[in-house]
This record gives sequence, C-alpha cells and structure tokens, in this order.
Amino acid sequence: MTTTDVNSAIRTDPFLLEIVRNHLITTCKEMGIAMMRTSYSPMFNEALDFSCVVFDGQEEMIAQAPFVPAQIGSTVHVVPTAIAEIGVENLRPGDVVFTNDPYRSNCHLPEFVVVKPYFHEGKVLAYTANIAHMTDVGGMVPAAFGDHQNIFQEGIRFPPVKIYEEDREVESIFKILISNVRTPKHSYGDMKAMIGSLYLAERRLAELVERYGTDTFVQCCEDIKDVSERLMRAEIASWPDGEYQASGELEDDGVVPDRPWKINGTVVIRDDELIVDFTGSDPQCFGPANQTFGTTASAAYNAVLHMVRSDIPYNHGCYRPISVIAPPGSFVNVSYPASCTGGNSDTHPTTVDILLKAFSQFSERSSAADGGTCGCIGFGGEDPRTREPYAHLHLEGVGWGGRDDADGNDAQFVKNGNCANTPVEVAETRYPFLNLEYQLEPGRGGYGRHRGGYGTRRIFRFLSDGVQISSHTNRHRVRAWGLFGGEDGTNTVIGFRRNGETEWVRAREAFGCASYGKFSGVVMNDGDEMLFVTPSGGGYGDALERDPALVLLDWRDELLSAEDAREVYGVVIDEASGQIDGAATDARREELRAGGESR
Amino acid sequence: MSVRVGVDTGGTFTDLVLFDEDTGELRMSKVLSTPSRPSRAVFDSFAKAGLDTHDIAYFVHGTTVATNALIERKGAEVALLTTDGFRDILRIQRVTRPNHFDLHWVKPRHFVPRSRCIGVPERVLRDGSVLVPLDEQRLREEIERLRDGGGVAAVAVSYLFSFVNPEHELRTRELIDELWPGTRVSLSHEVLPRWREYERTSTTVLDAYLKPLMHDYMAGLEEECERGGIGQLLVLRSNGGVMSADRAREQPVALVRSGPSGGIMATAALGKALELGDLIACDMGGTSFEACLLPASEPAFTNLEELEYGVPIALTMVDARAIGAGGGSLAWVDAARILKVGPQSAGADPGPACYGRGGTEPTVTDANVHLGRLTADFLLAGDLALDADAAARALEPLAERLGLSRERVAQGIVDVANNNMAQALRLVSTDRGYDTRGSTLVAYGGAGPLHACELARALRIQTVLVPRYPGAFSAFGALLADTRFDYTQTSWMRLRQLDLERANDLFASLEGRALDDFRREGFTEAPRLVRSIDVRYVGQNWELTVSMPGGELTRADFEQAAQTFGEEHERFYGYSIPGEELELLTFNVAAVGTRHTVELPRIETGPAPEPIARRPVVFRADDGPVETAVYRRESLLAGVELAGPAIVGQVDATTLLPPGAVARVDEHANLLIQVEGAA
Repeated sequence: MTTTDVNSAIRTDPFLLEIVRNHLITTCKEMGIAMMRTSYSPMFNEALDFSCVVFDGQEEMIAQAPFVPAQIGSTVHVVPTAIAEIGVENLRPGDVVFTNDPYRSNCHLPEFVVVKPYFHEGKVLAYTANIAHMTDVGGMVPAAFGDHQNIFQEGIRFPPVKIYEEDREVESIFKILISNVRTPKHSYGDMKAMIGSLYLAERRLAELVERYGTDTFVQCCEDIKDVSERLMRAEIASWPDGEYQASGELEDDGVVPDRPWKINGTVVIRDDELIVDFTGSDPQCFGPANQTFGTTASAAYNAVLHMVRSDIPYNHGCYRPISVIAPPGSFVNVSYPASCTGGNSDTHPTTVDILLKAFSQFSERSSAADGGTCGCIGFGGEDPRTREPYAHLHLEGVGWGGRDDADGNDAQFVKNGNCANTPVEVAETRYPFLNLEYQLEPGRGGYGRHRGGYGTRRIFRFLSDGVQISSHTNRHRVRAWGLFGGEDGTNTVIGFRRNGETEWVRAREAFGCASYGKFSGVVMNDGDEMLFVTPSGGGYGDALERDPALVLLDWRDELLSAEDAREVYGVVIDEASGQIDGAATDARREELRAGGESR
Repeated sequence: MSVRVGVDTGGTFTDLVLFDEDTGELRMSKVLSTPSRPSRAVFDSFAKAGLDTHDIAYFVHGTTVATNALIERKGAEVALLTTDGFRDILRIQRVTRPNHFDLHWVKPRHFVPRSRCIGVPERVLRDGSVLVPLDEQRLREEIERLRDGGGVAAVAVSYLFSFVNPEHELRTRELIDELWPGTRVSLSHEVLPRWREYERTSTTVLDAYLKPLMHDYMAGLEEECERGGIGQLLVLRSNGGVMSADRAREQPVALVRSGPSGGIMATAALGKALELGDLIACDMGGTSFEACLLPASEPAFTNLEELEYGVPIALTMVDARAIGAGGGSLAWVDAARILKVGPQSAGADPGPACYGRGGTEPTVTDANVHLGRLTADFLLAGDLALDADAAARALEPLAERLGLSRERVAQGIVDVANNNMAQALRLVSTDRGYDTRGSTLVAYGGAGPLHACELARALRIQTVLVPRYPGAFSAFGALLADTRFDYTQTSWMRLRQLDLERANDLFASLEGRALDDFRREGFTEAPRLVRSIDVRYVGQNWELTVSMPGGELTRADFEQAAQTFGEEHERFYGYSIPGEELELLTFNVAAVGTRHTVELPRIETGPAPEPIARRPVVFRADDGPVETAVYRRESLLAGVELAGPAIVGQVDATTLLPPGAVARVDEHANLLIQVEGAA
C-alpha cells in the first residue's frame, strides 16, 4: 500500500473522526493529570514516569499522549500479551489485569502495567492501560537500579494476574506486593492512583460510545489506525530503499570491568515498509544492561518516530509498517533469568542513537547522540525525621545532540523518557538529603556547527547515616558521538567524598565496584557528599562552520571561554568590546582548516 | 460624580460599559484599540460614550497590556538573583518536552540571559533554619556590578525555601533599595509563596519583566485619570478581583489575564443574579476562544498556567482555557487532508476575506457569511461592510481540494471550529470531574453568540444565555468585579498531629494581612474572608483544596474537612483511601470586598416585533438553506419569545438561533435560549 491518499482510509465522517481521536488523546492526558495529582512517589507526581494509553477491542493502541516513549512502545506488545494470558473470555467488567514481567515484552521489572477492559453491552469494546515506573520493587537495592546479575536480585515479579476482580481489590495480590517492597504505603497508594486513572478513562470512553454508538466508535478506531498507518507509509516510501547499517557500544554492564557491549542495527527500507534488524549484536551481558524484546522494539519505534514528521497521530497504525528482528539470548533480547533493569534506562537511548546514525546515511534530519542515560541513582534508608524507610529514584536531564537546524537542547530528559526533574524543595522536604548545587555543566566537548546541549552538575549532601546508594548510569567512558564532523560530547561523572574531605572519588576506585556508573552497595553517612555530572550531547557538523553569532552568544552566556572560542571554533572575540573580530576570525578559521589534525 | 465605567482594552477593540448610579442607565461604547499607547483608546472610549471624565466616580480597567508584553516579549531587561549553585534554574527548567518524538523542538529561552542569572551565597532549609547566612558583602558587589553594567531595569530574587523563611529575600531588597534606588524588585516569596522552585522563580521573573512597563503604564494612566478628575482607578486582576492601580504596579504578573477575567466575572455575577447554577463561560472574539467553568456560578481558578511550554506562571488566575479559534481563524487542509481551523488567524489586518481589506484565505467568519449566518446589517452600526462574494471566493480552493461543495466546506469549517472549542470547553470541565449537562452556557465576545447553540449541543447543554451586550461583556465584568486578594502560606502539618493553635494563628495572620490591605485600598468595611486548606494524603505531592469555616477553628472542623477531602477525592479521581492519614499543606485566605452592586436595568415587556428581514440561512449543508427571520436585538422587549430559525443582530454581535431552539427575552434584556426547544 503506497498510496498517500489518506482520505480513502476514512470510512467515518472526517469531522467526526477528528472529534473522536481528540477525545481519546484528551482521555490519556486526563489520566496523566489524575496520576500526577493522586500518586505518592515523586517518580509519578513530579517526574511523571508513567504513560497512559487506550487500546481498542482488537487490542491495538488507538491513543497515547506525550508521555514516556520507552513505555508507550512496549505497551504495543505487553498489553496484548497480558490480555492473552488471562484470556479475553475470562475478563469481567471491573477487572484489572496487572503484570511487571520483563520476559513478557514489558520493558523492565519496575514498569508496572495495569490494563482494564471496557465492557459495553457485554462485549469488550476497548482497554484502558497505564504503565508506570514503580520506585521500589523489592530486590537487592532500594529503587531497583544497580549491578544486578539476575532477575531475582531485581525484585518481585508478577506474571499477568487480576489485581481487581469486578471492581474489588484482589487482596492476596496487594498483600504479596506490599510485603515485598520497602515502601508499602507508597506502593499501595501508587497502585491505587494507577488503577484510579483507568476508571477515569473508562468514564470518558463511555461518554463517547453513548454519544456516537458502538458501530461508529468501532469504525473510528479502525480509521484512526489506518490514517496513521498511511501517513507512516508515505514517510517511509519517501526514503531511499536500501540497507543502512550502524553499530555502537554500551560502555559496560556493571559486572565485567571495561567490557563494552555492542549493538548492531541495520535499517532495511523497502518501499513503504521498514525492518530494523539487530542481528550481529553481542550476546546478553552479565549485568542489568540487557534489553528485553519490548524495550528493543520500543527503541526501534522510537528512532523511526523521531525521524518522521511530528504531526502524525501516534497509535497502532504507526507501528504496522515496522518489523523488528532481535535474536533471542542477545543483548537486545534478553532471556530468563538474566537481568535487564538498565536496558530500559540506558541501553534504549543508545540503541535509538545507533539507529539515528544509520538514518544519517541518507538523511540530514538525523542528529548526533544524546547524553544516553536517565541518570538513575537510587537512594534508600531510614528518614531520621520520621523513622520511616524511604526509597527514592533520582533522574536527571542530559544534553541532546546537535541537529541540522539547531544546537542540542540543554538539560533535557533522554529520548527513551520524558520525565521531569524533582524540585529541590520537594526532594528535600521528603528525603533526608540536601542539594548544594544544581546547574549547567558547560564542559568541553560536543563542539560542532550545532553543538551538543549541556548536561548538569549536582551535589548532594546526606543528612543521615546508612544511606544506600546504587546507580545505573552511562557515558562515564563512551561519550555521545558527534555527527557529520561534530565532536563527541562530555562524560558522566559520579563522585563521592566523606565529610570534611575535598577530593571526589569514584565508585570504582573508592568502593571496589566493577563500573563507574553501574554499581550498588555504596553507603553514605551524615555529612558525606555526592557529585553527579550528566553528559553533554554530541556535536553536529564542523565546528569551524558554526555561526560566529552563536559562538558569541555562548561566550556572553558564560558557557564558553574566549580561548575555546578561538581554538575550537576559530572565532576571535574581543573581550573588551564583547564583539567578534571578523577579520581575525576569518584568518583563524583559515589557519585551523589548514592545520587540520593539529587541533 | 455619579458614573461608573468599566473599560476593557483588547487587541482589536476597546470596549466601555457605563453605569449611571443616578438613573440606573447602562450604556456601551466601542472604539478601535491603540496598541502603541493603550490609554488613548481608553479616553477615546470616554469621548465616544459622551462622557465628561469629571463625572466618572469609579473606573475599573481590564487590560491586555501585560499579556501582550509577554507574548511579544517587550518587557524589561531583568537580572535574577538565586541561591548560589542554582543560577541555571531558568535554563534547566523541568527537563521535559511537549512532543515525545520530535527531534527538532527547541527548548524555550526564559526571560533572563545566563550572564544576568547570579548566585548569591545563602541557604535556607526546609524548616526555615539558615544553613548559609546571606553573604551581604558579595551581594553588595553583585548589585553594584549590575547597577554599573547598565541595561538592567528590574531584579527578580528567588532563593530556595524563601516561602518558609523570607529574611534573605527581604534583606536583598533593602540592599538593592540602598545601593540602586528606583530599581524594580520582585521577591519570590511575595509573588508566589509556594514550593517548587522553578515554577516560583519563573513567575517571579515574569513579574520583574513586566514591572517597569506596567509601572509606567499605570502611573501614566493614573496621572491622566487624576487630570481628568476621575474619582478612583482600579485594575482588574487575573483572578477576577480588582486592585488599586498603585498596587497593580507592584505585582504586574497578577494582570496577565486581566482581560478575560472581566467576562468571567460578569458571567458569575449574571449567573448569581439569575440563579442559573452551573455555568460555562465561552468568549469567542476575533482570534481566540476562552472557556471557563463556573460551578454554582463561581469561577474555577488554576495555578498551573504556562506562558508557553515550560514557562509557567504559577499564580492563581481564572482557569480559562484559551485556544486559537475566533472569527478570524484560518481554515486549512493538512497533509492527511483533514480540514483544520486555526490557530493561525487573519487578525484584524487583513482580516477575513469578507471584510474586503485584502484577505483571501477563508476564515470562520467567511464560512458564517457564506452560510448566511452573519449579516452586515448591524455590525458596528454598519461601519463594517461584509462582502459575501469575497467569502465565497476564499472558500473555493478548499472546496476543490476536498472535492466538496463550498457550502459543505463552510459547514465543515464551522463544525471543526466548534469541535475545537468544544474540546477546550471539555478540558476546563472534565479535569475536575464535572458533568456539563446541567450547566448554562454563557456566550459572549463578538462571535460567541453565533456559535453558542451548536457548542451547547456538542456538550449537551440545554440552556444558552446571551447577555445584553455580548461584545462588551468583559468591560461590563470589569465594572462588576469585587476586590479580591489571595493570601497563602505553606506550612506542613499532619492531621493526626494537628496543632490547632498554629492553624488558627496561620489563618489569623493571613486575615490580618488581608484587613491591612483592604484598609490600604480605601475600604471602610471589612472584606469577606474565604478560608481553605490544600490537603493531601500523606505521601501524595499534589493537593485538593478544601474550604474551611471562619472563626476559631475546632477539631470538629478539621474532621469535617477530612471527610470532605475523601468525598472530593472520590469524585475527582474515582477512589479514596478511608483511614489514610492526611497532611495539611497550604493555608489560603481569599479576601473579597464588594464595592457597590450594579443593579441590572430592567426593560419593558411587550409583544414580539416583526422581523426586519427574512433571508436564506444554511444550518446543515445537507438540508440546504432555510428561510430565516432577522430581528434587531434592541427591538426585543421582555417576555418576547422567538423560535429558531432566527437571527438576532445588534451592533456588537449576532446571535444565531438554529431550528429547534427557542429564545426568551428576560426582564434584563438577556436572551435565554433553550437549544432543543422549550424546557
């Protein structure tokens, strides 16, 4: 199907279709507002690490909103899997199905998935679903990120089960859940918020069906998907047929020191279809950096959707032209019982950037790599102010890669997520630590015609003894790559210092961990401090082609020294007048071009 | 000295509504706005209304000057002082993006360049204790550096946890006043005493950004008013209350929704006077549409507003949802060949094609003209001619592209615009769990009454109210608005460890401030004080607002509040957790002072007039044109009933009654329409 005639995909009234589609997207947004307002963990109510979606009776997604790409992509697989295991015939009105099993196409164990069938006149007409990152899931470290070597260390795992039966809590499931996590009260409240959002969504679906009737609703669902499918196919058809291969590495797995793990991605474009083939990637690793199939498929969708125009309504139709090949037992399709928490947080963005590198072989609209980490650092212990246990997952923005039309954005959440930072005033109110610093890190790197965005620098000071710290972060060694001559970005840094000390030490040297960024078992005490610097993005294009006005702006913003402006960009700034010396700049750029490799 | 006026300056028109206290007469005038010097249009409107300014006892001004300064980024150069180590807060923001799959989105720049974001050594902790004392020496140096560097006209100060302990911010202002007198200063704990530092800082920066401009504008207007012998000048705030002009100068960010809040306040007043219960205000002008929910005729408020994505103004303001849908909104077809309307607008220049001023692209107004719904007979008393042929020509390319008749396309444009507006109406109503079906839709703005019945049908609303002067309704609202100030103080307290004395002290202190402010505003009577507390389950991060009774609070009052919270949580979010511990977070007092009541003038009863014309109008393209009677609004006396199809025209708006709708004129000259026939 190569036709771009989208109208013929519309069997309902186009005006009505617009109304129904908007109504469904609004429903997802409203679910999100309810989640934010009623949930307990800052992961939900500040960081917004959840995604609300609506599926139709065919178990295909008909609506999503700007939530977390990694989660949304995996729902394409995990929602039908969960329904199939329970069996549609076993679903009753008021049931809610729950799973967090990574081996069933979920992205990783902390992603809790709840699905509720919407019944109308005895038939399932749609499903409302919510996939949300639960802060603590039991396991060996608070907040689930570290150097796990198997699923049992990661935490408690639920295959698809009913957590609500006919509008009532299934007590045994709740009891098992809250008995296996560090913060039972929060986990309970968060589950209720998730399920509450499904009830809210169902009310909105009922309005729609009541108003337009079942037949029209069902037809609209089909049209919604078909329209998006045609738009996607038109985009893909506009790309040159061919095979575009690229590879890249995740720097380590947290278990084997200095051993990078390779991802090989080949984008095959044939007419209006696209195959993403990961054959040739490394076998699964020993730590938690493996991707599940759900994560890998989601990363493939994520890359393609970043390449197409941004006004296509996102739903199942977008995924139809995309096939994903990921060899089982590999780094991109983990087998039981290997660990995989960090595959979703840090391997996913690297996978996307590798595919964007493949796309750059025919498109300038691709971009350099981003900071490639969600900055997951888990904190846990007992709050001395309340004597209650706490578990908190810290997330952080990174620099994004330069692109054809602009610099990469500074301090933005990495491509697999769309989470917010937690305000200092909220974090300090809820947890026993301080933030002494949180600002941009104008590190030296990521230069280019359009430079990579900057990461951030934060210093924590702990206010209690026995704070357990674990982390799954990336780019301590392998930096965000540049594109079309742009330079690589800067590194992540995690450092520690004991009360009164002045030097930062890293987890590997100070605590004997295998990795700088993927570790557990670090314990901080009252007055100790931790440094967290996130990486910048890679640069795009030759730094010597950067608009001098942009160089001057960075200098005025105190993000670039006059010396670096001259050495890196060949732009000579007269510091006294604050202006560019045009003639000197031309000469300097000439000199640097001639000097070439001496730079 | 007997006349009171409300004046609303919009992007295109400046509207005036006058109330003569002696005769009870209500009158309007409408002049073109003068954006380069808005006060000129204000005085033009006085002249057009035939007013001697010395007769004006009381003048309430609703203005879009602050709004436009923000949209066009024409405010002052600002410097920001933050806690040392946090200077990049405006650049970091909340690290999210509006579209999750867009490689080309550029994060918005906030209003202060990094070189003027300065960290000051100081640090207050969550409990108000001081970890790092304010380094006054460093601060002096930074202030002098800013002063001597030139260019900066205002300073925003936003330190961490200043809303718990404001000492450092207050001392900072003292030092600025001492070293650099005349500089405008905004302190975060005064602008927005709430947690979440980015939202507070953003709001404070916007306040500082507007301050020099609004200060000059207000001072100029005050001076002209004084010269003209005008008694008292008040300004409409975003929260629907009014404040004195000198106070408005000090907190200009409170004026960003000054314009629309007038219409919403007018809606509230009318709803209460007529005992209409739940209302939805819909204001459709030339370029934008604003919707606001008023349960029990009380406006809804929000503090989650954003100027653009990532740039919040977290101040209490009327919860109006604005979208780009007005008479001038352009119709177009996207790549999926789906018909879209707006948000781009033909504006006032060139305006819709039918205005005959060079516009060639089809707008909502052109579609209405083509369908026969809008006639030139009344608009601006005939000042504005409508060219139906130009409207038809503008529709032609879309008709060809879609393979539909022009009529069908015109119908489609109206339908899509209506759908967009209905969506905005839903967003303000369903976020809070309200069912709109029992509400009355109050339609105003130049284009509101034309679309109202169809919007009502889309939302299953049975009753539409079109006020007497829909085009000048916002100005009317300015005239009616109460003086309202909001006072808040965040103070964590668990209900099980309720410190009754502290809770009472908190309210007493907020109310003390309210009484002081009202004295300053020239009130002799005490304001009405409305208390509430933001409450949540311990562990949640966002709150529901629960109202509290006045007087000395007892434990029983708090138990009642807990019960109300559970009920509200259930209603909004579909569940509650009985027995779960509650946390009291922010104590709020809204102080409302009523100036004088405007008596709605009454009109005589009388028989239905003969229509002044009959014309073919298309209501459904499939059905073809329907012969429709046209009436002059002024000729409709109380008790008159009109059955649709009918058009009611007046100088400032056109009301469309589709077939099946029945309108009744009430004793105050409002049109009350039953959209599905008599109730």
